[in-house]
Amino acid sequence: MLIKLAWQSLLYRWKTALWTTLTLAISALVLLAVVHVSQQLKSSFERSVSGVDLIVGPRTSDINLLLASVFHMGTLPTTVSSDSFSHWQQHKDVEWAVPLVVGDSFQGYPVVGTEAAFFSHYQVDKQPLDFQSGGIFTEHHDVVLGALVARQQKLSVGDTLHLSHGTARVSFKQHGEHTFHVVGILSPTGTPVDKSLWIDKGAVSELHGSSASEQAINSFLLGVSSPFAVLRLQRAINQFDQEPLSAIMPRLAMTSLWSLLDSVEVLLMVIGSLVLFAALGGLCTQLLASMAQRQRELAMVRAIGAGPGFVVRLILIETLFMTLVAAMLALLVLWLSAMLLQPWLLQTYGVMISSNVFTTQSAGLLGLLVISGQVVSLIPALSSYRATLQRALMASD
Amino acid sequence: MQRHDSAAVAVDRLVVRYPNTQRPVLDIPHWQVEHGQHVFLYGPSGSGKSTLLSVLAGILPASEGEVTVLGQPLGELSSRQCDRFRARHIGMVFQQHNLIPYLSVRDNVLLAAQFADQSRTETLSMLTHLCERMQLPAELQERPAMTLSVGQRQRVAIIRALINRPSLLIADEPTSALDEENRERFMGLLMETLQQQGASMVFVSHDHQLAGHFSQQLDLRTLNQVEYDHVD
Repeated sequence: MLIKLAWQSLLYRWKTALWTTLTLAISALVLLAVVHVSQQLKSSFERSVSGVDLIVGPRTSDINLLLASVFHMGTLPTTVSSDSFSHWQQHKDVEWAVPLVVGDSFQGYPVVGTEAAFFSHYQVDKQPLDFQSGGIFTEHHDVVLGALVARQQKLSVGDTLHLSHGTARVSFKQHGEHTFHVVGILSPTGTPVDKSLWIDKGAVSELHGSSASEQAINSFLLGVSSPFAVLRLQRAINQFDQEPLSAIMPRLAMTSLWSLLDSVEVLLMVIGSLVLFAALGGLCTQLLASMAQRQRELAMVRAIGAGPGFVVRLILIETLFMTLVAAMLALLVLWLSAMLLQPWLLQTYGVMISSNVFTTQSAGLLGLLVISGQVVSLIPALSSYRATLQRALMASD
Repeated sequence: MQRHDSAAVAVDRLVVRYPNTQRPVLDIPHWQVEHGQHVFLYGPSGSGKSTLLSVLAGILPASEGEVTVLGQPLGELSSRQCDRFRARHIGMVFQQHNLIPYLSVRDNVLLAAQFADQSRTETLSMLTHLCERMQLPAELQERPAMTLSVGQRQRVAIIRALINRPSLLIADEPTSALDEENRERFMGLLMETLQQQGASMVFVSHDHQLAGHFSQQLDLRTLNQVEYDHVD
């Protein structure tokens, strides 16, 4: 009966109840979206590279090396000689090593020179790279495109393109005489791989007119034979006496890079919480106003024998209905929009946002909404508890 | 259910003050309503009629003295017990706003029955019976109270007040919102049903035309020792 009464009471005041619920839903949506998107960015960021045990480059900071070799951002202070590369490639703890040569670009997208082995070792989210069409480069003038490059430049397997030197979008030093054939297009990954072009390392030296054997590289990725060797190998590389080198573990570097963005995450959370706070304030105001309107109605319930606890429970249940509906609405809208926007975000921005919004974290946030709704409605509920029944009833005197 | 020698209502050296005021509103040395008696209580506005009804219903506590309703001294009850006592033994009808507007007639009545722990089936058959007595069509039970006419609403209010077979009915100007025709009909049905249930009643009104329906008429000013204040 109490539940029926609460429900009928909300239906009777459906306009205010609806608006209050919508306000709560929108604020819950903002908070959920902020948390979900930042979580997804973080995980999309952290899954950018896996299967690689160490990234090795010239002596520089961990973050700089990570940015340059995985995200193709910024530059490294110097190069790594091919001698050093061969030295470590042949080290007993090293299972495989793949060189990376960066510095060229196509229409603003970085062109990375590497070896065919790259495609069998480099992983995204523990999955090897997958071709949506074509395959690995076999000739010097073959090029493999990231999904986003192919889509935005409207290129498909069999097309040709001209590569330029330098990373600027508009480059004056054109390698105009070198025409490349698209042989493969990678599937979208939601990582920087989507925005890159991949050519054979030898082709880079040809572009620059240097000999392939002497060519310096920018960095290299390596995998170790046993997980226990990672730390030992890292120390050895960092102490290499023939050339100053840095070796980093990608996951650790990724975590420290992400922690740079912590304050942004905190700021977003603060904004989300303020929005929620405002909505709860609105809820409290609406309830207090309705208490004044409902004074007679509530006094009547008391007159026919309801204890003050009944009235408090009635108000708490009404709020419970509104917050629960708001929570479900927010979750539903977030889920629908994540699902609808997912392909577009991946193809346009190379960002992977999962549509799985039903996480323990969102459950926790929505639980917080419901609980704080109950706490907030205690204010009007208790004010009705104390309101003198007698005053409300005996208005005729 | 009550001590056979006790009256329906017994008031002894009752003084009522509102919180934070010195001057009492009510000061009644002694007053008693016998079982089955129907008292018509009148007096000008501000003479304390409604205050007295609140005290009898256990809504407003007495500042001094003792109020015994149906053999139960109200001062001995906690406020929770008082709510239960009211639900089970006292029916109340007011001038207006008796019903929860968005609940159906049936649910309004069921709500009152719930507070008195009455069984649902018993309540529903009682409701049908009372609707017949009050000349309300059965299909009215399903309708939200706000869709009823004022006259119908007041009759539903009586049904709601009588549904738990109370021994005491307290009515505070229940006819003042009704026109003359409806008022006579209302009074006729009320007295008839009350007679059948054998309940006592304290009925407050300043409409002296109604006094004829009652076995006893009482001017509160003769009862209340507090000087009647015209300014109010």
